[in-house]
Amino acid sequence: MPEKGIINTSQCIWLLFIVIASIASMQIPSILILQAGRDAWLSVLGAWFLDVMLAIVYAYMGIRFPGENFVQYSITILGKYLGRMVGILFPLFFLLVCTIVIKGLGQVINTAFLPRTPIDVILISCFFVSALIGRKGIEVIARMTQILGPLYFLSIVTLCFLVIPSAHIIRLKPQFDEGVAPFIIGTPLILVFFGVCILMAMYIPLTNRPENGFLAKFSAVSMGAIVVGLITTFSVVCFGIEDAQTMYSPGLQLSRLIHYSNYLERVEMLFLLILVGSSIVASSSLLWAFGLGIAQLTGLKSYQPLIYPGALISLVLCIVSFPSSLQHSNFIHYTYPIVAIFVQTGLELVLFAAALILHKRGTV
Amino acid sequence: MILLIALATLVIGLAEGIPLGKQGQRKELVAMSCLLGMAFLLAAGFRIGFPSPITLLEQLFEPIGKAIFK
Repeated sequence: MPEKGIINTSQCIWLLFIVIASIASMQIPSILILQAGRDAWLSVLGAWFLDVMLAIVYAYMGIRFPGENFVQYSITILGKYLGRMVGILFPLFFLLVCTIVIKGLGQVINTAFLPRTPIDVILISCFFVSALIGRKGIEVIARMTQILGPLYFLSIVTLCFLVIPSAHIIRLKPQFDEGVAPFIIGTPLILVFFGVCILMAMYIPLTNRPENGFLAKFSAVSMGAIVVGLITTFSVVCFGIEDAQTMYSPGLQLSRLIHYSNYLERVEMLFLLILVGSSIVASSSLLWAFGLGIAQLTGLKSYQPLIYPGALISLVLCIVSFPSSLQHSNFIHYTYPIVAIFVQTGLELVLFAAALILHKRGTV
Repeated sequence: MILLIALATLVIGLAEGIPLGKQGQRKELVAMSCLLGMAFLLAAGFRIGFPSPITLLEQLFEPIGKAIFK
């Protein structure tokens, strides 16, 4: 196994939570509000439920194939060639998500904090730091998240409570004014972002208690749903759906509302801290998962030499594929959900069904 | 941009490749070189007008996404 590190259940929870926190800090809440309007918070609830259901499948597969992640058990189930063809889709998906996360981070920093700095400089810095962390291995990333995760969770919850004076609960009414369709279509839209937590399948073989895989994902997704739900709901009640759906980072705009006399202001710097920290750690996890997946598929002894090249590919994709923030938002809104549903749900359910039908099991 | 990517490819190739070569890890060296080559080809392809894989994904799936989402 190219990765020798071992993590505990608590670290696994925070590793997964930080991925969702990075998504919540960017433009995803506004895309959800555009889709589901006032019912966006219900879509978050629906996505949480469906993701927990999906976690049961991932946790079961983790126990059925002990010591193997989905890249490895796709080979065990489908054989050497077909298994590799399916297995490579997971690392490639992680690289795609890493590209999206870093581009989103670069865009927010460039728009809101460093407008005179070329975005390529921000992207290069972010990728360099992410690759540096990813190369150190899962234990280093896990220890970072164990410190940063609780801080971020408390910070986002506190931020949301501090904007209560600007909230107008009447903006949440009427619910279902356009029927249930917006809520139903909004659910898979946010589910595909919670679904990045399929990373759990890479972590389960490395945890000291693989049987706690479901507990880890359940806790992480529950906390993630609270964070995304709070940001989405407060964006609606503070700005109204018309304004909230056009914001690039509603969470950032919420933090700008906080102003208590002269002693508590410019809180958006705290939000910037959460945004940068969570996105960098999330992308380092994704680069790590990409490197490890490719190393396992090609039978390498170590994955570290693949992290910097992976980051370079992701950087090139960022620069050539998303020349503007509009193209990035369009990709996230229309293309990414279809690709993500295919990988996160479709592929895993096919592997699950194939394992049951072919009576395949891992060896202890 | 292409020069920057070429420089990054060279720096990463040397920084990672020399230790791998010394340790005799040929498979790792080949895998790393392939990924670096891919990064450089993506950048060079963009320069001469080839679409990136993400653009291809967009062309394939965006119509479906637009039919489902608002």
